[in-house]
Amino acid sequence: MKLLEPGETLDGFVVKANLHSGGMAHIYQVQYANGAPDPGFRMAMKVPRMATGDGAENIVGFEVEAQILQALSGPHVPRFVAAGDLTRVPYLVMEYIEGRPLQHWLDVARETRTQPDAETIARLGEAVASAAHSLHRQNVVHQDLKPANVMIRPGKDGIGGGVLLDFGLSYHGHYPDLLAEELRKAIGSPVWMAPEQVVGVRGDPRSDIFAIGVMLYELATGELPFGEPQTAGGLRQRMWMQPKPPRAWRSEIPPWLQEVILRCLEPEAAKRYPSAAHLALDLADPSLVKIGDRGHEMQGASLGTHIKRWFKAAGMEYKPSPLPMEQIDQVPIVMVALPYKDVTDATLYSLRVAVNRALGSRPGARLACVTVISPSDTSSTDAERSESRVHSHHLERQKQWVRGVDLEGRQVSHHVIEAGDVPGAIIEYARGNHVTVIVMGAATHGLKLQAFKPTIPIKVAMEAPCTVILVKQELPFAQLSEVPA
Amino acid sequence: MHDGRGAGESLAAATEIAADIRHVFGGHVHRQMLYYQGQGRGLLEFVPTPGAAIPVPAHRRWVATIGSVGQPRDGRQEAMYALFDRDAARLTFARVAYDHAAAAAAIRAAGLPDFFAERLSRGQ
Repeated sequence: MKLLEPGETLDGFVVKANLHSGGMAHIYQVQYANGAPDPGFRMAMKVPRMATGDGAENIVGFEVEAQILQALSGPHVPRFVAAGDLTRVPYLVMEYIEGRPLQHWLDVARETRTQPDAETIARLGEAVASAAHSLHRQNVVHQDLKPANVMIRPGKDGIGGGVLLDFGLSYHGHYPDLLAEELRKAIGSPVWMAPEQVVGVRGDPRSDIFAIGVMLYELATGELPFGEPQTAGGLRQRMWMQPKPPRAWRSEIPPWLQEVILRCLEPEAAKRYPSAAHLALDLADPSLVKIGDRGHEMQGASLGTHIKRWFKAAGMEYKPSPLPMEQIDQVPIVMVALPYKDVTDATLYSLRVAVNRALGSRPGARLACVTVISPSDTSSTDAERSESRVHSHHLERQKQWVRGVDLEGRQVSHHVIEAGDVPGAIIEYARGNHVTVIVMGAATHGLKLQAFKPTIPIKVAMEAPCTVILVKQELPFAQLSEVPA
Repeated sequence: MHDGRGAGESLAAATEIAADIRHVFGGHVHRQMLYYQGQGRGLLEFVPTPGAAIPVPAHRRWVATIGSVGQPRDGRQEAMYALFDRDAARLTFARVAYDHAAAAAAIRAAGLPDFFAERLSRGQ
């Protein structure tokens, strides 16, 4: 379609300005033509360059984007406003996202010849991972994450929440995949494409994690881990090749960041972070990152290792993925809120039983132990009650408690939060870290006295963004085993 | 109609009746399946998730087997049906539980072969 000029109208929208003219589409800033106020945010209209009759993949991508955008919600995608009839006037009107694309940080790095510091990279990465997780929870895999498709909203130091754009190559688990073919082929952008995408497997959320790894790698080093492959053979390299460790480019990159990046870039999806929530959790607090050999490496893998990997890749089988939502359900982040005082052994025991049950037999599950303490528990004058002393006391108690949990190699992290509003702090932690299930004591003792005042567990249960398991204290353990199953 | 090729034949037969036909529904297959045109030539198959409204715009051609009320073949007992909203161009496959034990009892009471009663509870 030809370029629209400011003042021209299309299907009830009036063009205010041309924001961007890309190879695939024009993007305009628009308003309602009848003068109605904006729906609470500025609007952008995307009009494909090609018409339906052209039959190019481009227009199919546009159809896919229109379908998927309408199905998505939440702060990590542009809000959908309207879509034109694909056969008549194809267009999409959506929320105009304020902020900057991730590409901005790469451009600045190139101009100033300075890479962003590790903390900035972690914050950008967390924003992108959180946005990707929100998408995966809605059964969608983006499949084309790259610095131009990720917007960072304004926020502290210029980094707010992440918003994902351009769903033209995306996959929705509940919809027929219009981009599929009988003979699978690679669909995505070569620089960021995951190995399984190279062989035509679509719908695995961990493909997006690989793409995030490529972006983090470039932010940290200024280089692309697999270059810009021009051939099918070049594209297949990532199925066996380990990229040069980021620290080999720049030794000042901390091992934890290298560990995170290389874990995202593992050729086998099963070796990457099991969900974007797990990645976001590590990036939110780098002290949680379990640094292995991957994090310390200063040289790339040897030729021998690469040959071994090549053979492995040659025999690798890629299975179609289950629904994205089902896949991330298997790798929950289980949060346990451990009471900080007046706690009986029976309570601690029943919490452990409940946590074991919540972790279940899922090897990818992760446990976060959280204790919320009152600010009045610490003192800046009394050394006995100094903040660090009180915190380490609670961390020690948590670690002792965890010994009774069947972790079987699963990752566990410990957190002490100082807050006056206990339920608020628990909910905030759960929301901020994409917690799947909260386990906490039901605190039913003394409930009769509090009949009209919601207790902490009740408040959490009502407002939590996830499932809450309230563990009844002082259960008759001895009799439990006798209850017929 | 058990695969993309069978669905393609059904579509061709339907198109002979009316060239502008866009949505073809088939019964008797006891399986919920949606066949559609992807990027290739033949029809691709898609296994729908019950309850999810699937966009089935009329600029494409669609063939759906909506399953059956009795005798599902996928190991679940729930009866199958689908709702097609032509104005919104959405197709929603559905599963609904019913008293299959009572139905099986009625089959036996009518003196029909036990196999027909038994398969209702097996969903096979």
